[in-house]
Amino acid sequence: MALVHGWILSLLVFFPLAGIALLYLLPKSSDQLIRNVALAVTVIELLLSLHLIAYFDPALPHLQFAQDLAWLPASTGIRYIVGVDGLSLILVILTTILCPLVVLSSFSSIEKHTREFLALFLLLESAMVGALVAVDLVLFYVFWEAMLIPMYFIIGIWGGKDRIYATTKFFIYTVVGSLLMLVAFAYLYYLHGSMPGKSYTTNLIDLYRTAAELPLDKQLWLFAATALAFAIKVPLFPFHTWLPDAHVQAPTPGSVILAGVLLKMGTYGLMRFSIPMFPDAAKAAAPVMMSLAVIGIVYGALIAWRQTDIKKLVAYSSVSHLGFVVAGLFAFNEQGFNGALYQMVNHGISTGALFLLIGVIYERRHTREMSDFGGLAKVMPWYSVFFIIATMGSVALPGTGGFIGEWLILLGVFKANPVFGVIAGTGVILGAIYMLWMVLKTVWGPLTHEENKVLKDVTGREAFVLGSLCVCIFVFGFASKAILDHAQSTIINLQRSVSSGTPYQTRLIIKQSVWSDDGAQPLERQSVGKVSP
Amino acid sequence: MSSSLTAGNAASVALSEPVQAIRERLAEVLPGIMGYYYIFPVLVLLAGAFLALMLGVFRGKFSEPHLPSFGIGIVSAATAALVPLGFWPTAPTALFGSGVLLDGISKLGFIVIALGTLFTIMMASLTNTGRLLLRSDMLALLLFASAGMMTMLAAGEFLSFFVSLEVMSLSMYILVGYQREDAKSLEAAVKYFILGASASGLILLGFALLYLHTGSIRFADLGAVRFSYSETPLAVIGSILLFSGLGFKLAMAPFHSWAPDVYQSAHSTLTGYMATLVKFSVGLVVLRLLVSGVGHGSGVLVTFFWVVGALSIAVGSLFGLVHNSIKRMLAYSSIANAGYFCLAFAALAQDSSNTIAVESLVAYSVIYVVLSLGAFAVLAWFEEDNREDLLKEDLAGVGQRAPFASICLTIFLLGLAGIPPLAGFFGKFMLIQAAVSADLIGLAVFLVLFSCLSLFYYLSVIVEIWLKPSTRHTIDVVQGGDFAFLPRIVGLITVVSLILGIIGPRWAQGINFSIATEKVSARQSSGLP
Repeated sequence: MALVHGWILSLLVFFPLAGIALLYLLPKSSDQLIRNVALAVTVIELLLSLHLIAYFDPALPHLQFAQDLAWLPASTGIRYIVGVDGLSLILVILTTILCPLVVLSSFSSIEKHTREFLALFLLLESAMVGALVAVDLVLFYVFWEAMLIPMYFIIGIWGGKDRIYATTKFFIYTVVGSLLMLVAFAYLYYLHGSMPGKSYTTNLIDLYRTAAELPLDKQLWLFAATALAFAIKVPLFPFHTWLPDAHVQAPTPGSVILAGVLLKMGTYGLMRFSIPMFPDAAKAAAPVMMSLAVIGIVYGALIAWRQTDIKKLVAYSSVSHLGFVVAGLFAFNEQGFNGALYQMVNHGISTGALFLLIGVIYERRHTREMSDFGGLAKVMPWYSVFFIIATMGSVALPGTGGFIGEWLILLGVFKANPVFGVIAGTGVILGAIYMLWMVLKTVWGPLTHEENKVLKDVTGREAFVLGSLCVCIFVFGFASKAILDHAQSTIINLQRSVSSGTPYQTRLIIKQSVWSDDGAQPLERQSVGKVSP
Repeated sequence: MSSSLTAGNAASVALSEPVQAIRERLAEVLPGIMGYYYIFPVLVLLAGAFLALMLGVFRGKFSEPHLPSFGIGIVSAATAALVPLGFWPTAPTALFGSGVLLDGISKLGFIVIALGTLFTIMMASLTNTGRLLLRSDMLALLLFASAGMMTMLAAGEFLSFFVSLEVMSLSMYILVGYQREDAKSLEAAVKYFILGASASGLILLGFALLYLHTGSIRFADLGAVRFSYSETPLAVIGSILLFSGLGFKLAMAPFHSWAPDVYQSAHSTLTGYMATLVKFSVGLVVLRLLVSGVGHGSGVLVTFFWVVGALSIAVGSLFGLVHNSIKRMLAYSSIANAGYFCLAFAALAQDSSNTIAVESLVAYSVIYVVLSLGAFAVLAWFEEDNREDLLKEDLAGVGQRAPFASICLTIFLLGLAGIPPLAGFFGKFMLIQAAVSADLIGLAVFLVLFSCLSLFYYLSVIVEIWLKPSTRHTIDVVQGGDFAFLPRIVGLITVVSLILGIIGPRWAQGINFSIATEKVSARQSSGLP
């Protein structure tokens, strides 16, 4: 078992890559077989990730199931280090849950070049899991950029008619930010290496201290460089313009994974890198970040209200919802962090479900204009049920996960700054308005269009995908304690470090296998990093 | 130098004295038998070149490919690549005074140049236009150029450097205009020759001015000169002239204007050779000059490389955007890459003992060679049976017709753009690190911002290949039959670039290098000049 603990993360990262090799061994003509194999790969990945939940110790704020291997030559200090704490655990599980559902949804939405699509998708899954578990800055950067390449092709090849514009914009926006982040990382790396008694390293655990002890002006520059990269990915208010284009042009599976996981990478990055590395700068920059987040909430909501294209509406609602997440993060209290983490997951699920639902009617009608629909409840009753549940999840109705998330965030923001709290609160109201408006225009009302009278309700496969997500929405509405408990100690650790301005402290917990007869006693080896208090 | 002076003084005393002195000096500088093993890569290339020339004489038609010469080329390049792996001094040593330095950089350089030459000859043999390069005289020139590059990057003093540079340059001038009736190609060759010759003049003049201060042609003695505008203005001017001349050979802006024309007019296989190996070897020469400490004590060279580097990056990234010809675009990409080199150069000019900068340059230049050679090889493949000098539109939808070649080209272009986990990422990372270590953060940010711009033109090719539907202009890519071997070679270099991207630039870590290790003879230590 100790052996499994040590290798489970690497297995999760590289198993989808093995799946790609498998896809290319299958005969080219058998599309359905290729789809089934890809589905099997993602389901096995999900089952493997359950091992993490089963053996994760929620009491510890440290990076568990860690593995620390040599990668580049020792003198560079760049190593292959992976590990999960409460924060990344929840997002890894979100990823592995969404991936099989997305593959299932691609059965009907992706018709040409099936094998290439699924291969790129598995590559994307591998990169996403890798970015979430990487503890080494260079390793993280490699996975972070590697996420881009498959997404670029997924939007560019299988997207709508303006796909090339959208995908190029997406690529360039993201790369501009991440290259500046790379300069910041290189600076930290050099700084750490040139300090007396220290050697070069890109181990995040060691760099937390180096970074946090810098003077404020340097911290601010470095914070700006990293936060820009993540803010573009989130996307935070003035950097959001790539998102509606990318979402609208992406094929349904692409939109789902973009909304479900890729946007979360931005907020994850803020939580894992920008805030704990530069706590002083983060505190100094909090008013700016919070204002941008709050502007994003209101602005995104207002723009969403005026959309006639359903997919664009949901895309702008993402800008608004992720504004909540960033506002929660920069409240720097426990409620804010908890709410932000919870809202990341909820947004992934409810917005993912909404994009799937849009995909379902788009496949039938090849339009996404609200005015082309209306009265769908009469011809597609099950579809309407799922649609309404997903919408409720998105507008944060009590009983859905969104409620807990937004409630916690608002609590946190009020505690930090009541003015921002009030403005953010209006976002909730606006959110209800535009989402319910959309439901009204599509699901309710008279059935005015002839074409809509013959629409078929959801198929069994679609019902399964949508049903599972809808179940998740309710599960998250009621089981919040069980889920947040996993991240509790990590968040307390983060909150304590930020509020006291001390370096974020964590360490790797490496369970080495013991090859002796008297029972496998897991050994905890402390990494080169710091001891937790 | 010292030996001739000594001989002159001694001539009046006794006739046998100068002969004796020359003998002694020769005994000092001539290497032992192992030395000839160490420089075997150069010797075998030269021998191959002479042999190819001689065999070519017995051929009826000069204009046709010459099979024996081709065989000689392959064998000598392969031998040259293998020998340094087996025979190499454990500690850095110098042969022929400090004419040839044998250290880690030379070893790596010998291997890269030999493999690059081998790759070029093999690629040339696989395409119809490329086969024209397999005439005995052309092959001989190619081998001469490679031998010249090898001695150039190993040179520890000016004369051997300059002679090698000219061996290389003269061969390249002829190769660029090789057997083309095309007026444009001749124009490019003449342009290249005139500008190249004047650059050589600049290098000579620059070093002559430096020589005024050092009285030595050894690079190692350059560090002794103190640079300041008021006290040693000629040394300052000399160093700027020297590096401007070298900047021409590297196609750095503002000395770049020949590059797009020349790259566009030469055949892709040859362009690949010219764009990569010439840059690689000249880059290492600049490295050797800078580690010797030239220009230390004044910021003049730091400023020089800052400005030239920023200008090259800007020119390469901006002008690449507007060109539709892929080869022209890659020419601008190579100008931008020369600008990236300047990050390491500026860091070294700041502090000549900066090992991070040395490692980053060695790492990046090798990665650049692999990626660029690969990209030009795929282009040569695409040009087969199509017109030369492809436009971006000609590649629309080619991903469906020739997926393998397209995947390879995509990997090379994304690698040049520096997207991890492909090769190129670690290269850029180390260059940024070198600049940061010398406190040149501005230049590092400059690289980052402009490499986003250059990313745009790399992407525009990828967009054409994969995301656009094919049109009637789309090229047909030759596959199978005679060309069955071609994918394997291109595939090989793709795999190499992927491996380099994943394992990182290990060859550059702790690479040993020397600035000069000439033995101090009894005569010199006794106080004689």
